Amino acid sequence: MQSRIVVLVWLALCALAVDAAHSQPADALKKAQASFDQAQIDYLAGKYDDAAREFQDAYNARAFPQFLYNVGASFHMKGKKTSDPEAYQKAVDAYRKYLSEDPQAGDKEKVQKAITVLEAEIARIKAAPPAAPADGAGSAAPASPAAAPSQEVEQLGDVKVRGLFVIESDPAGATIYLDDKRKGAFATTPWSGSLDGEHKVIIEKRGYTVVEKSISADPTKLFVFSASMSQQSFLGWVEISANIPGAEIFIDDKTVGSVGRTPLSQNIKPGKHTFWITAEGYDENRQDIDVVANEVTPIKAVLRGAPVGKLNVTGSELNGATVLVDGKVLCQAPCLKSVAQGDHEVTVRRPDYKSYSQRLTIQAKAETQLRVTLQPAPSRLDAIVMGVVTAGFAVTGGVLGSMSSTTRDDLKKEIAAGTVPPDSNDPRLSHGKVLAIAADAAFVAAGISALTAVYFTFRDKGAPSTGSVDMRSLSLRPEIGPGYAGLGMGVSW
Amino acid sequence: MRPVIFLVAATSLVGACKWTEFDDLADQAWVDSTTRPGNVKSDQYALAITRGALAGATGGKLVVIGNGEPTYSEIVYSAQGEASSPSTVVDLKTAYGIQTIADHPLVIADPTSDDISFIVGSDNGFAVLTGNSGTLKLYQLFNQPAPQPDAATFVLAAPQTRPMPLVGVGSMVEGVVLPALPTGAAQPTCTLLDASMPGATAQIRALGAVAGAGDDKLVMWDASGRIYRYPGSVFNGCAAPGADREASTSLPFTPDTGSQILRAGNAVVLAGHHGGDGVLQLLDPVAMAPLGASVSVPGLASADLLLTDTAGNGFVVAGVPTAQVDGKPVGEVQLFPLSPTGIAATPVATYHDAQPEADQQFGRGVAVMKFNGASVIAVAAKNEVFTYFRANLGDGTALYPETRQDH
Repeated sequence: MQSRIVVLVWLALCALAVDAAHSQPADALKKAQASFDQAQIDYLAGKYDDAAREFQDAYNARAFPQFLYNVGASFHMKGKKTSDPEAYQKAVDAYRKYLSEDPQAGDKEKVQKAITVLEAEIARIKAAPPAAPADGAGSAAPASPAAAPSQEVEQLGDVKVRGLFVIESDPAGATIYLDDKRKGAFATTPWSGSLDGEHKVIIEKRGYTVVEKSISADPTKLFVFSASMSQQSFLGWVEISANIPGAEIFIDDKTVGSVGRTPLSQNIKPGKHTFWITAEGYDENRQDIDVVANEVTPIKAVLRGAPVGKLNVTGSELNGATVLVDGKVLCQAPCLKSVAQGDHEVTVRRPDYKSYSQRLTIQAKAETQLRVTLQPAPSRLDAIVMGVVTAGFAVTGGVLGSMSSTTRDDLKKEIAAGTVPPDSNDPRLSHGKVLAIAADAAFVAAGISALTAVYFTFRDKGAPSTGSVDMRSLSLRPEIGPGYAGLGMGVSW
Repeated sequence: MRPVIFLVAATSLVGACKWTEFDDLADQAWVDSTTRPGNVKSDQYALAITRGALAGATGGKLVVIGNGEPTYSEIVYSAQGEASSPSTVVDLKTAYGIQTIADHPLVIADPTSDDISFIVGSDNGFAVLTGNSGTLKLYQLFNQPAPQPDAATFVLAAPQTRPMPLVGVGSMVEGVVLPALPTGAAQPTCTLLDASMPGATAQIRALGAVAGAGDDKLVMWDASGRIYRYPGSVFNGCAAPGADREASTSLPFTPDTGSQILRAGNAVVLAGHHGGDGVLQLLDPVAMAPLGASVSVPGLASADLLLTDTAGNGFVVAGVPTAQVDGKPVGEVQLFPLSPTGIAATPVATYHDAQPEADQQFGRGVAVMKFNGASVIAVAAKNEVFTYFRANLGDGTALYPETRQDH
């Protein structure tokens, strides 16, 4: 597939607006693209000198450092194929110039290693004795030991030329967003680098209309996205920042979702606007701002609050279970909820199941997974039965005690009256005594059964509910490399 | 659940009973009830009772005659009224061949000493058993065979210096010389005659004695209802055909064996029973004239006198074991006021078991015993003896106050 290896996207978003001042860069870009296309063809055909020359022409037309790398790559492959120390030297020179042009190149170490290997190879080739003729000048000379690449060169592998994705704007200095403004700014124009896949490119600059374009990037080809931005003098420009990077920004209507994350700069129609800046764990910041056309309106939000982490409660037998944090209902399990960082008592409770409690330390920007297995609570029927028995004994004791007291009182009255005095063997004495003893025995039995009921009520019968804790750390960090920049997310547990 | 448990616990604590209160109440009871001791075989324990000691500084003693397996036993009361049964139980069948005892045993007490005598028929005649202080010994086994004794009393007759038992059998009386007849002396016997009724033979049903000038005077109640007075010398025997009465009178009541003549000062109280009838009558043995009206006491079985003075004032304690209480024939004891002029027609107090049982026969024997120097009432019931250490009259006034120490 050499028929189409270069894709040029030329966007004349407003052709009439392009003035003569813009035509010169456009021509240079066309020339660079043409040279790049030819260089790719020559490189694939093994014409490394031609390919190097074309890549150099492309660089001369538009000084993208990747073109210099491709020059070096072409000479590198020539040297490897021919063991030509001169080709290797040119490759080294081109690589060095590449690193000079792009000191922050992401492949800097790899290129430097290649330089080292190639310089050693040059020295090795030059140090090798020239090959002696075998049987006359006209005969073919056998391959010298220096003709084959060294093992180190072989380990570098075959070098491939690189494509290039270029985003430009007229005027330059516009902010580039990739896919979603809420991800934050990607770069500013002009930008060149590697890009792969489907993307939505958003280019925005104060006082100019926003340009958006969906593109399909191929890392092996040259892709140029040039945006010609029309001036919009009636718009205002807001620069929104907060003490919490990545805080979400809502404008005028929160229901439509956030428009981006801090820091954010964009055009906006003049007039009164409401801005909400919020981040999890922080109080929402609201500002009502009167945006003036063609002026910069800075909006600075100071968010107060505590950072949060995520609590993810999962497990078995959790349907209908309630998750409480520090005694307050958080959610119905299973659930994933934000919880302020710090120590918390987490309880998972479900009717007819044994509750599970665990003291956890929630860390900010980390997900703490609590996997819980609730065990059915033991039946309290035995406690209820003992409670009924207790009540029965107590009632029996009360009745017997009352009968005993009545008997005692009657005897006392009769003894005091003396008209029909009870005798020392009056059966009521023994009867009342038996009643008293029986009443006390019933009370003792009630007490024992009550204690038993208490024990049955609170004893922990069966396996306890269990849980395990996993902590997943989420980290976001800015990453910038040759040809890319963005936020990297790390997960560990 | 927890509140219920706490409620139960609180209820239990509040409702806890002190069963020892009933032990305290038993101690506070005015009446001691002593059931048949384990060492007494009689299944008719307390067929008859009499006082076992006439006087004593503290405590008291009661003699109890049991039937079924005939036994003589005693109940000894401490000064605090606590009853105990000494092990000196006499098995009358084993010791003296006494098979059974009549419904109205002849158990008499010496009015001047602690002696008691029990006169009872045996296989070989009848025996006079005398004793006190836990002892009982056979005095004499009478003529073999001999009729059953009909009546007995203590009588003082010279040359004896203290009252001794006189047993009536048919129309004859036999003196029991204690501790034993002089060697070679014949058993003194005397037939009691009524010269005004030639050919008539007396049938002695009750004997009693009153103090006379020197010897006691013997009072005899005949089966025909006539009452005779004889000289106490009949104790020493008399020549045939017998001794004539000094005086006599008649009551319209024919007493049965076991009727009693009780000494009340210078008078005597006749307590007779016959079938289901009973009568009380105060009699002047000198004038041989009734004092006051006779008092009908249906079901009277036993009587004794609770005297408050030597003039004969006090109460007749009458045991009526068939009396109905709350519609049940469980028995009771009735107290009739007694004065030198007669016996009140109606009782001033009625005692019965506060929790009577069927066929209890409360009052089948009564005795006025000495306890801590005071006279207290003892009542025999079926297999149970009640001793009233404190008693009230029916109107709530005290018959006698607490007699026990430390009460």
